Amino acid sequence: MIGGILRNADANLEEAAQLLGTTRRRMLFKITIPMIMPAVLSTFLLVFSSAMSSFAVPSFLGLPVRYQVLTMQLYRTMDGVAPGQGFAMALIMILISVGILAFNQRVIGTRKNYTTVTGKSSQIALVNLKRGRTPISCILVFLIIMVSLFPLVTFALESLIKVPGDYSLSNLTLSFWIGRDNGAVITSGEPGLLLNPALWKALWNSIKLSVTCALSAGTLGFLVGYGIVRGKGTRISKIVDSLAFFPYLMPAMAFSAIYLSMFSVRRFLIPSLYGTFFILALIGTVKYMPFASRSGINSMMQLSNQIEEAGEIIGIGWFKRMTRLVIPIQKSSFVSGYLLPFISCMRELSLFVLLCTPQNRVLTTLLYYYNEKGWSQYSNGLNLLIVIIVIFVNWLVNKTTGASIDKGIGG
Amino acid sequence: MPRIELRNITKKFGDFVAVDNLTLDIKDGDFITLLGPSGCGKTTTLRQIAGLEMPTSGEILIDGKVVFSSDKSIDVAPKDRGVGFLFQNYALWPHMTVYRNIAFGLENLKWKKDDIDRRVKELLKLLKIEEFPDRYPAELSGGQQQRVAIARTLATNPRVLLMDEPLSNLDAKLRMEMRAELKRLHHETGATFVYVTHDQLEAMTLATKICLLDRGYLQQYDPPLTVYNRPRNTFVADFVGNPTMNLISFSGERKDDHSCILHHKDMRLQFTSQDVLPEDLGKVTIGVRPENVLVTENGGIKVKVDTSLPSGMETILNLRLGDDVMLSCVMIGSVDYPSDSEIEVVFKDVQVLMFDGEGNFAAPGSVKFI
Repeated sequence: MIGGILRNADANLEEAAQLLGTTRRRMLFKITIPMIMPAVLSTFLLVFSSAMSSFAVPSFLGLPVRYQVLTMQLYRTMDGVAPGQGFAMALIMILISVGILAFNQRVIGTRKNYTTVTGKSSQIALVNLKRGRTPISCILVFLIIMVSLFPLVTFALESLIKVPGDYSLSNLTLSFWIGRDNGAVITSGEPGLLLNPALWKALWNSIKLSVTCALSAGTLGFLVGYGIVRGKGTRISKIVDSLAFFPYLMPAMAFSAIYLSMFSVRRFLIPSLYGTFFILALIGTVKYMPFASRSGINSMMQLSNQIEEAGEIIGIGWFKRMTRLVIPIQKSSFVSGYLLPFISCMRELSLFVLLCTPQNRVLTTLLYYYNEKGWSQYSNGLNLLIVIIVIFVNWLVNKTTGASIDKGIGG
Repeated sequence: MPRIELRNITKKFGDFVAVDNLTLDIKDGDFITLLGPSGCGKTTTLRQIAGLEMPTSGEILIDGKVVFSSDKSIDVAPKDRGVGFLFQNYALWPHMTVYRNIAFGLENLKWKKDDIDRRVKELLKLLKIEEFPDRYPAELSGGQQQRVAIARTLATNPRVLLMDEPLSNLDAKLRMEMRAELKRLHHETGATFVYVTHDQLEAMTLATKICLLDRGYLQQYDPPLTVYNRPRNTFVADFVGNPTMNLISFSGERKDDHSCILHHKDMRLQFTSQDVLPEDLGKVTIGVRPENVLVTENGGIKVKVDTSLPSGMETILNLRLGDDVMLSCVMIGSVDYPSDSEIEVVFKDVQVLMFDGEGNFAAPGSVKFI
């Protein structure tokens, strides 16, 4: 994110200082840093807030060393011991993240704002690294391999060894993938991953859920984005805008705690939804709608009203205007409005972990279950599968439509 | 006082040649406009003078001192060239107040606080922005931002002021005002101004000399009226002036040193000039400014009115001459000829320009339809 900010920052601002004889040090402290400070701070706050509400990472890495965080406590209390306490925690989490975002809003909204006219900021100054070029490239490539490729290899390897920690050839086995009966090894008779009905069921559930969420969140988000942009300036547009964005501010687990309390018992005409597929689809749709509506707003903002008006004047109906004009023009961001919810849903744990029952487990909650049991080979193998599915879908969509997730996020 | 010399400046971006072997001598106290269509290399030239961009080859001198030379490996830092630069988007620092923006360059020079204060107040007054020292750039209108940017640039008293389309983000009325103010500033500061624009009207009205570039090549470097009346080639003739010059191609037949017969389909005319005409005529182009196409009662050539566009002070006529030539004509006053009516026109004497087969200026003269 900060790279993007620096890239968009107007090079003229620094050139102006350079011409006035500013020293490098003074330039850095008086121009460059203050210029990007609000953006950096806001990145910092967003990362802080999402780390606050994350559950998967601390529970996988923190549990073995008893490093408890709020989300883990919340899960534990909600899952059994003291639901009342859990709801209180959920409330605290919500307050914290809303507080952070309100603070962020204040920081951005000051009068030193950045709405100056932009012009030829496209002149990107390349720095000649000279002799440093090769070593720097090597270090960067190495880093990329370390953070992206290396974990995948590790997952694959870890899912193949019988006794964790022993990497000798004789310790390798495929039985965690294709073994029929692994009773003898570690797990209590759990079949290998690819032959495991629990996995296939979870995979099917995951895909069903992700597709449902993507379709509903994507479509609704697009319509919401359309409505917000077309009704720009009206009160209702502002209200819809903030309402559609609201789930984004909610920590996932606190959000699902709310759903749990709302739908766990029968209320008037709504039956108890706990343990149904419907509640998972519902919460996924609502939670991911902000992604889709952002990308909808972005794409509609770029599209001049006149394009649609031109169609309207020659008597093309609304539905046809959407399908023949608006959507084809903004195809790639339209597709990413679906892709983002799909991929987020595929890898979401904290949102579903409270609401899933053994009958409707998804891949991530199955992963969590394996991890809780301590079957590291299974969880590593499953992890690898999830990563591969996500990458594959992104690649597939990218190939067929030219859209990709990184395009839709901007904003 | 500074004179700027560019010697054989070439700038390449990869394979793309942005500026091609440009040699330019800008006299002290001149107001030069670098004019041309987008992508012609004018901004690159300006940035090279400032030192923001490094020429691929050539030499730049400011005030007799070499500030850049590819042969001698000299590249003086921008701050030591004594130039001020005005950016198209103003490039005001958004996190500083107007006062701080203007004072920043003086602080770099380690001026005393009192001196800085005095200088900033002086500039605020000069540019009529005394009311806003404590505002942030985002709280100012475009015109006010522009004034702050000018004040910031002038603060350190640069003797060369480089401006990159400084008025293009302003609305038409404000642009007119700021133009007049820039001309006043040029007079008051006595500095050398180099001004980039793609607006030929701006170039005409502001400059003491226009430097017209196209695709990296220097096309013409002359005072505005010379560029207007004696364009060196058809590109210049076409680029300067609004409505554009009428350019009609003919095949020529030399009669003697000073006259020739020109044909275009069944149209024939005689061209006479004080100058000696080129030996080999062949294909030539005749250029007539719209205001030199005169409507007459008799003795002219018959044309058909295509459209007439009266605007009060003047009327622009689009006329059809023969079956494939369009002529535009500007006449003072408002007359509204109905479309398809027939009138007669003549071309004003001595104001008709002849260009040779390569499009280069050959001779001025007069024509008679025969």
